[in-house]
Amino acid sequence: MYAVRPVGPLAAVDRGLDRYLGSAIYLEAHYQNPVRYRPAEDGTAVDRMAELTVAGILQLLIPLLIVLLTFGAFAGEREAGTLRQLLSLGVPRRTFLVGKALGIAGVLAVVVVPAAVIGALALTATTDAPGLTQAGMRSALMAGGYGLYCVACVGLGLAVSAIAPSSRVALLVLTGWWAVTGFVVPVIASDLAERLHPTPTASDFWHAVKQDLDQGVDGHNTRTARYEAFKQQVVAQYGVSRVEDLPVNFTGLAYLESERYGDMVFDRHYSRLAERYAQQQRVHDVLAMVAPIIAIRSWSTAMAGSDLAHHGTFAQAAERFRRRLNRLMNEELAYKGARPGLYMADTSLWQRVPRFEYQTPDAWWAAGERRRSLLLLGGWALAAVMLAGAGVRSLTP
Amino acid sequence: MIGTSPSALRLARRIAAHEWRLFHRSGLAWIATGLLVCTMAYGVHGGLSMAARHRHSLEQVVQERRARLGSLAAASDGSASSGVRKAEAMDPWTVAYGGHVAALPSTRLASLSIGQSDLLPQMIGVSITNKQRVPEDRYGFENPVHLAVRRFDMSFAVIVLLPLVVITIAYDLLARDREDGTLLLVLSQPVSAGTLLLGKLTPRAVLLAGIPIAIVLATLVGRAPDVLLSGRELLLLCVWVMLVVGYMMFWLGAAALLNLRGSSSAAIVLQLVFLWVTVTLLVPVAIHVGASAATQAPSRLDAVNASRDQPFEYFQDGPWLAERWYARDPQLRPAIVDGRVPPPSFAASFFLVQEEMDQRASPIDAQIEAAVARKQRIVDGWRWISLAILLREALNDLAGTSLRRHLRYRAQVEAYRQRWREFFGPRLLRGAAMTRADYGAIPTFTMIDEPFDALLRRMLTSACALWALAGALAGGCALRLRD
Repeated sequence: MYAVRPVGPLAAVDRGLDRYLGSAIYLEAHYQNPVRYRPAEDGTAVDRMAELTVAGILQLLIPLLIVLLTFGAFAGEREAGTLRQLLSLGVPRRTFLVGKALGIAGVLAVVVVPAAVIGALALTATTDAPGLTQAGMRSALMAGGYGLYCVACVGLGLAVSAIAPSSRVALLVLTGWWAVTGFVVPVIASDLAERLHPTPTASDFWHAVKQDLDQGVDGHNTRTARYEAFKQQVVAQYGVSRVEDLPVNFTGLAYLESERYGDMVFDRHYSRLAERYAQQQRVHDVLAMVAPIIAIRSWSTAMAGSDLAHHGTFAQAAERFRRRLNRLMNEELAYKGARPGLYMADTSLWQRVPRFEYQTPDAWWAAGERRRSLLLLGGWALAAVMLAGAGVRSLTP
Repeated sequence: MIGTSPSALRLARRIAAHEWRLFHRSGLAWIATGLLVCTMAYGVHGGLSMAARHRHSLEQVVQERRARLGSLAAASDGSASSGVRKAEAMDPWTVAYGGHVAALPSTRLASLSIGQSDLLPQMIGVSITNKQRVPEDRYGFENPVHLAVRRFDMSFAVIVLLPLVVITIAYDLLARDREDGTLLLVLSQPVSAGTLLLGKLTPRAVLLAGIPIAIVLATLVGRAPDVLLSGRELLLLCVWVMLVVGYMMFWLGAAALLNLRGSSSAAIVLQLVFLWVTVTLLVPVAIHVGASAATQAPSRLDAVNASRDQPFEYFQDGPWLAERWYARDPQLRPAIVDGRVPPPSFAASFFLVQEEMDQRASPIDAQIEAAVARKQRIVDGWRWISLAILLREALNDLAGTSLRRHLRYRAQVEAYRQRWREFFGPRLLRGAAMTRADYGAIPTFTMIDEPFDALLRRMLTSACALWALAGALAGGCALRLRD
């Protein structure tokens, strides 16, 4: 049986990790499987070089536009000789800075607002009423994050323009910052995270799982020993001397016990894996202090519902379902299949099989999960505005 | 024009030496070059780590499989006590279901480009179960965040970082002198603009070409000296040098041409950054969008659905599914007992149902594989308009981490899967016991790579294209100088 991962309505804006997460989990007895069928596996190397969605444009190209709009804001005025005139008019420096920022915001609004309106209309047209409230909240939170990101970029651009000795230097510094933080630092973050906290290889992971299942989690409790101990326990519990005398099907009980032990082993290994991903995310968060694009990417992906946290809730729901189903089947065999011979269940069993239903967590949960990214974006915006203020205060004609 | 007389060359050498001295004093140039050295060294190390990780995985799984088969083979004739019951070892189901792993071996130059190897499975399980539920295929723990961003390797350093460093140290080849007013002063001396440009370009070109070559050679000498003793790998390394130097020369040529056009240094930075964004992002986006639109394919889940559209009941469906095998090989048909053909065993029925499920999914699987191959062909056809794609594809090819190689591998695994079925199907249908000789005859998988000359030809074509573009820019510079 497969549990298929749903794709949220905001995936049109930010596909996030969708192509790399896998589409479905194969649910079977004995094994907790990872999600399979990553769409990216059926893509070319170019697909990975060039996945430009709306979010990609906002994260990469809007900052480039901001760089082009800001690099000459003060340095250009100085070179043209107009800075001296403006300052001599007694314009307060803070007003000067706010005016420049508003002018740039106006240009950005011309680009972003029509696209946002079209996106909102498309979302309204394609999402049902109950989903629309959540999608609306997620969109608003996402937009808030992008707002902070733009403030950070504009602030930094104006600060560099005010501090740099010439517009050429300002341009070089800002384009260098844009290219390095936009393209290089995220890759370094990913690589560094992997080196500091390596993800186990599939072969190591399954080798360790097999070891725990065969030898016991303490290494001294083999599968055979566990089976024998369980048999003695059941026989004693029912007050009989042989399993053949049990009023229940021992095979079904043994399956139940085996699944219980297997669940414990899988919980152990998957929780370690989740902890490893969390450690890696912390490395990304640290590097987001250097490159705000890492923070906005995490935030945007979380709001679109296509990040690891959402993926985790889906995988957990699928696993709960798998365990419930296994239990249902094994209990049926244990308590109804006591007669010798092949046991065939009737339709009533299948009517009791629940449907797999997965509810995507709400927007506030998603925001809470990635609050660190929002804090980082806020920190970046504040620091950039303060730097711009300091730069304008020390502005010399 | 660039003078070619001995005196002009001598002058160019003196200018180059002067540039070198200026370079030493430039903080920005030092930072950019230092970053390039560090990132390239880090990139090669990343590639080596990834290659080692793959090797470790493959060796671990292959050794486990080999040990398991060895134990079963030993137990099958009771010649050795291997902890496996003889009945289990003689049952073909044990091996057929437990399956095998078809491994894609890393090439010896895999460290030069991680390519698609972090995303695409380097091992595919082969069993009598249908493809969707092969026990050995439970892969997929790589952090999706890292898959989306990609890993930092030498090819990333070359494709993305090298042009940025070229821009940093070559945007003001002549523009700064022009803005400072010193260019006119210099040109009023008996030195041509061409000689001046040559003198300025040479130390930069030597430095930028020397860094990646030195880092790769030093790494190979230190970590994999055997690579340098292999003629095939040495040849590939030469092509790698051609590719990297050609790519660097293109960016240097672009910077030189823009400088000769007389733009300001700020405008040159903008133009070069725009070119970089176009080459590394915008054109790949356009090709990606076009190729995706032209190759719509069903999803893998459609194949899963196709194989499970109609549920099977092993004991009912086993007999009619077995008829195909009986038709092909009448000797497999069991003798009539009590006036009827005995139904296949559960193990045989399971095998037959799984085979049927795969057959139902196979048209969709084939459509997907064909679409992926078509997409790759489109990328191959259009790679000429983006140097980044051209170089990425060539470097992945060279390192054996390309989708092209993986498609070849997947096709061979598919053929191997069929051989696996052909081997175990009759044994399961007959209920024949596995003997030691049978264990020795179990099909094995060996990846057969593309012929070397075809690979080499493709990479040389890419390298020549890069050099041709760099040459075209040099021609543009010459024309500009003549004017």
